Amino acid sequence: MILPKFQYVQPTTLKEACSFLDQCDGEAAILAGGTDLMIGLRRRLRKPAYVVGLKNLQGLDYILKDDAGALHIGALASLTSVKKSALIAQEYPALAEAVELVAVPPIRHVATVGGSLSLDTRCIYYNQSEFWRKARPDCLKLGGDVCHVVEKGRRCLAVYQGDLAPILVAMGAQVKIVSAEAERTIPLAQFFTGNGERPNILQPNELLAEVILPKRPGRTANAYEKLRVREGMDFPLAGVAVSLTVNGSGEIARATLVLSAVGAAPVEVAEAATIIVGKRTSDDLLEAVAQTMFEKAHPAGNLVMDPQYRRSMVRVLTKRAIRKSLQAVGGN
Amino acid sequence: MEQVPVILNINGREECLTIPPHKTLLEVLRNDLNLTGAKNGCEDGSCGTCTVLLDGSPVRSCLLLAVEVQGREITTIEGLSDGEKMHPVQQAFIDYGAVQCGYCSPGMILTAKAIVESAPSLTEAEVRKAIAGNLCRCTGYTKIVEAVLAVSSQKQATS
Repeated sequence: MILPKFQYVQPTTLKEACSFLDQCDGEAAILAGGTDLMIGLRRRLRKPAYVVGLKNLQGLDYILKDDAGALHIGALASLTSVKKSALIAQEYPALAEAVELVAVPPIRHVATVGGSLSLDTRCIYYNQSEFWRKARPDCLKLGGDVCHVVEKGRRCLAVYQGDLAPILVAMGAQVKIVSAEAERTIPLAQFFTGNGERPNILQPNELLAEVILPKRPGRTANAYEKLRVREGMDFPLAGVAVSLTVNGSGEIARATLVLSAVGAAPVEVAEAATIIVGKRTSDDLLEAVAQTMFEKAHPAGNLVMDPQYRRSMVRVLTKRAIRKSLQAVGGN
Repeated sequence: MEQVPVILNINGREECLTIPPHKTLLEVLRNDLNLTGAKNGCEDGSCGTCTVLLDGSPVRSCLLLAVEVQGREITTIEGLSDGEKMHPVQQAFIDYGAVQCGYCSPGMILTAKAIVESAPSLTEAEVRKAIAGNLCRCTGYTKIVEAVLAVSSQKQATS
């Protein structure tokens, strides 16, 4: 199936790219790795007048550590470069592991960190060809007024299925967003809107430029557990990311738990974390944490697996992620 | 429709074309250059039949615009053999019975070539992980994995 027609522009600097986006007045799509946009174009989910290709934009694929020990990852760093990075293996090995859960190697060779974070939300009724969608009226996400998941639904239930965001949120990541006129740095958790129709806060003239990770505190480990049908390729059908800091007595000094792929954004579940902070973990406590995560998860029937099963698996993923982190940090 | 000039480096040859920007690399390979080894399968990057090597790494040619990959080295299955002499991976696929209908084979062989060349030795698990992005409906993968392991061992033995 051929793609819809568009005008192609290829900026060589970030400044040029921002300038283009400004001029295109909302009519442009950003083509980084292309592993999401190209499919969206082929399916006519998006029909931009302009495509801004970033494959030749230099200087945005770095992975560096600054003097304060914080990590800076350029938005155009490929997932494979993250997986292979000696710096990330040393500072944040769990991030390299999470990256390896994304799709398959040929996708990871071109897919970018920025692209993963700004991945559009997904639904089995939305991510279909134009031909398939013609049999039904346009849904909410397409600008219509029905939802095919919930009869008389007024809120889009499309799901955020990126695999990097959950663990990056758990690790306290920030993102730098640039436009022709300004730049801002915000916590990654605030990048997501929870709105299925508009999943993140990027304006049409803005580009996600960098991810910043704080220096990893001592005695801290992170983990991401993903539910999917196959052992490769598939998007997550439920995901839990955990970040734990253990103190000298083996108690949890700090914990962050993030629930993902069951709603329109990855969400930090503070109520789950407070159950274990200040304590040594036990099977009972882990059950309580898992139950809290379960209660916060409300998957709908809009991905390929039964939502009840996906919801039940949140308990399992939570316990696995916590145990994996504890093992990594040398805790109980 | 606006046409743009592109210069593509394919199998070591420079190909100069004038194409509309919305053409994928796969379409250019098959329709403009008659390099029909790369196939159109799933159209969404999940099957691997369109796989080509970009600067030595396997990528999906159906998810790349031709205009995007100028100045990069593109290798298709047609670029693997040396005249009448097959590449060791191609030969192994034949010797080990790793080809049935052949539809997955171009993509599978290119992916195999890339992994064999990038690792001094390979375990079965590593091979399976590397070819996870190339689906085969005929063989059940057993012979494919055997063929790749054989080439890897052979390479180890002669190095």
